[in-house]
Amino acid sequence: MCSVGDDVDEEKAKFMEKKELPNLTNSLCIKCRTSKPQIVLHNQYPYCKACFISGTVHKFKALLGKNRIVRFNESVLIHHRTGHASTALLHFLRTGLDLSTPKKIQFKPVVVYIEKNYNIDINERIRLSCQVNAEVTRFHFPIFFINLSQYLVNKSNLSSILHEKVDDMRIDENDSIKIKNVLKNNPNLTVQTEMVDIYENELLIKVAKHLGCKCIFTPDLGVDIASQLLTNVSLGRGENIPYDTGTTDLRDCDVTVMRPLRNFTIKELALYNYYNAIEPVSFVRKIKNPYSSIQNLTEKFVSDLQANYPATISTIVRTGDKLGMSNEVLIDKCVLCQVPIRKENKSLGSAEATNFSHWVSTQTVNSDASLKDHTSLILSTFDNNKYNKYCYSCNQISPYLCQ
Amino acid sequence: MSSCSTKCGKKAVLKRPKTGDVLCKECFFEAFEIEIHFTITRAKLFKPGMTVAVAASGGKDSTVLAYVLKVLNERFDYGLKLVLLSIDEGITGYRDDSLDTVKRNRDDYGMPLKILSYKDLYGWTMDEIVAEIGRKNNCTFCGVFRRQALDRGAALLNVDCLATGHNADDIAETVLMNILRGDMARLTRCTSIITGHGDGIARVKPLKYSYEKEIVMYSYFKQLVYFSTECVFAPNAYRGHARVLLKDMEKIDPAVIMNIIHSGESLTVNEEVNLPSLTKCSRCSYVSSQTVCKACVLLEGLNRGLPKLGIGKSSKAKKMIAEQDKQKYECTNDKVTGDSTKCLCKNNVIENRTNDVTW
Repeated sequence: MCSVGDDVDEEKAKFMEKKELPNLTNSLCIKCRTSKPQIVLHNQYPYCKACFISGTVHKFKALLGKNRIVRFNESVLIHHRTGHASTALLHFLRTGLDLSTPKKIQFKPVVVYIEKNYNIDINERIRLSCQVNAEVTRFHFPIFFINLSQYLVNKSNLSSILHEKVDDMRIDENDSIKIKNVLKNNPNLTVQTEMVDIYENELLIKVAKHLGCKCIFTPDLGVDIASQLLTNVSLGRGENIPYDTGTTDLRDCDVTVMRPLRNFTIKELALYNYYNAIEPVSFVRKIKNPYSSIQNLTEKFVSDLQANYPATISTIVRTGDKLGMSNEVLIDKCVLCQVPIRKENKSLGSAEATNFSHWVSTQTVNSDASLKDHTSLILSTFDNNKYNKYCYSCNQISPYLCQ
Repeated sequence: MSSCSTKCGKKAVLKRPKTGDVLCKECFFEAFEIEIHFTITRAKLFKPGMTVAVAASGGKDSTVLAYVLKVLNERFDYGLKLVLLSIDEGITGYRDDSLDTVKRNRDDYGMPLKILSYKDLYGWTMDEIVAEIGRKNNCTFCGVFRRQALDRGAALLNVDCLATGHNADDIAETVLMNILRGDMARLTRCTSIITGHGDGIARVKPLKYSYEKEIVMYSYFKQLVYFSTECVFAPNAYRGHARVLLKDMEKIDPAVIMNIIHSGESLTVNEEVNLPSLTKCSRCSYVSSQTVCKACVLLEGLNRGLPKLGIGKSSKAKKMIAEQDKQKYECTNDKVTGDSTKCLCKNNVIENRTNDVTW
């Protein structure tokens, strides 16, 4: 059966157009129009090396300039992960701080490295942490180390597990088991990943407060933002999109999370590092099975689509930018993800429909009652308001929580 | 399989993708129907005394919709008058068979049926359009025309409301598609259960929270007659990426469909974003976001012999029309044409055209 266009919302139900790579054999740099181009960005724009580097630096600074969140001389917590994005971020900050022009960066970066590579060998984990330490020290930034699993075991004592020296951080064979034990009832990988992400964000905010930082920079790239957005939609976290994917996350009253690399692609930053002769810390990652969790699947989907349709990531990111927060005054916050909870009392929504489905599938029929009486009994006993501690999505993971 | 979740004592025959509960056949029928009843009453889709047109294509969704509405209308005294409305696109070998199915539904459920054809409404059948445009963009014509045909049919039948068979999977897919395309206006509209009640006839989606799988199971167990085939002009081609993603995600966790609908419902658009407002087409006065609606542009293209007119951007359409008008003007002035086949003023269709408007 064909149902194309049955609805007002289907008018242009077509594929995005596939872009062909133009022939750039004799073209010049799109910016200076004099030099020979060395790289092609977004499958179509040729750049020479000098214009590319200045353009990349400008893109980073423009975003900071547009969102003036950090004040003069404040400390900013830099969330460091291994890879091109984190290394480029350190280089952007170091070159910005070393300027003597008025464009000099006026805040003090403090780096934090959260150790959570539980799926690789313990010696490799120790080696990686030491390499990160060496890399950050080369950029002359202070760095702190913390093992995520230690935080999850005891959340109250941050000062004893946050270390300035890499050797002080305890790395244990049993870390992966500790992480698994935080959740009960054997959750699937989607829920596990979701929980680790929520706890990691919680930890970041706590570390920022502990170190007196009012702002956190994350190394999330455009592809991370786009797959996070699709993941949020698929897990029923529509409300979280402005917080989880926006340029700034103001969920916490004291600490702002900022994503200064969200308009970059991995290609841009890898080339930036290459031209600046800096090599990021790297290790062989295990190949993820895309069908094992929603997060892995969206990540693969976005990067596969981006390869053929270069507008994919920017379209998704811009869609997210146009989404805002509700105007209603919402007092209740989800105890887990800290997002304001919206009550669905006024009109029927997906959550209520699902709750009702479960209710109707678990009610025993009294064989004497007529179908009509039975229906009215089910309708009258249905109560949608029994869950309000968590938001819609966290409510689904609440059965796995130990506390 | 284990025993039914309602503890009725019978053996379960299916696992519900929405909640993971397992049900026996009888309890499934009941749960499926009560849920649609709940959706209808909770979202206040109908009022007593309303005449409701069911958009019937002969496929599984519309067949189940017609059947369930009839059952619920009788069981819970909605006081609705139900009619079937079908659109005949004029596709030989596809629509002929499915219309027979709709006619059988009419007899089985005792509902009046109205069939409207593209030929009557637009002067073209899909077969003729495909002969003109080829197989590449024909779905654009079919889709745009069908949407308006349903509205026109509903107006013709003088009904209060039009019910369509969109299911939960369709809506989740539309949400994903609109995100991938960055279409904010449709993204915010596509999850509403009632649309278009500002002016004209309201459209409702009573199956909005019903999974496609359950609809198939329901019609299978109830042995409802429906027609299952793909359009001869466009097998498997629609909606591409969003559909693939949704099907893959459903394999990991079937609850994603309800999750996506929830996300779609809870999205709020930033105040600073300008959304196109829906107005009326200056030619046919049907709802449109442009001065001239897509159906009128496509029809104009067909009648002018420029079938590609409505494909692509509207600025392109304006340019093409201006060019053709210029040619026509020059031709009548000079009275001399080198190539008589190119002279458009001799084209009867254009000379007889009465509805010339500024684009």
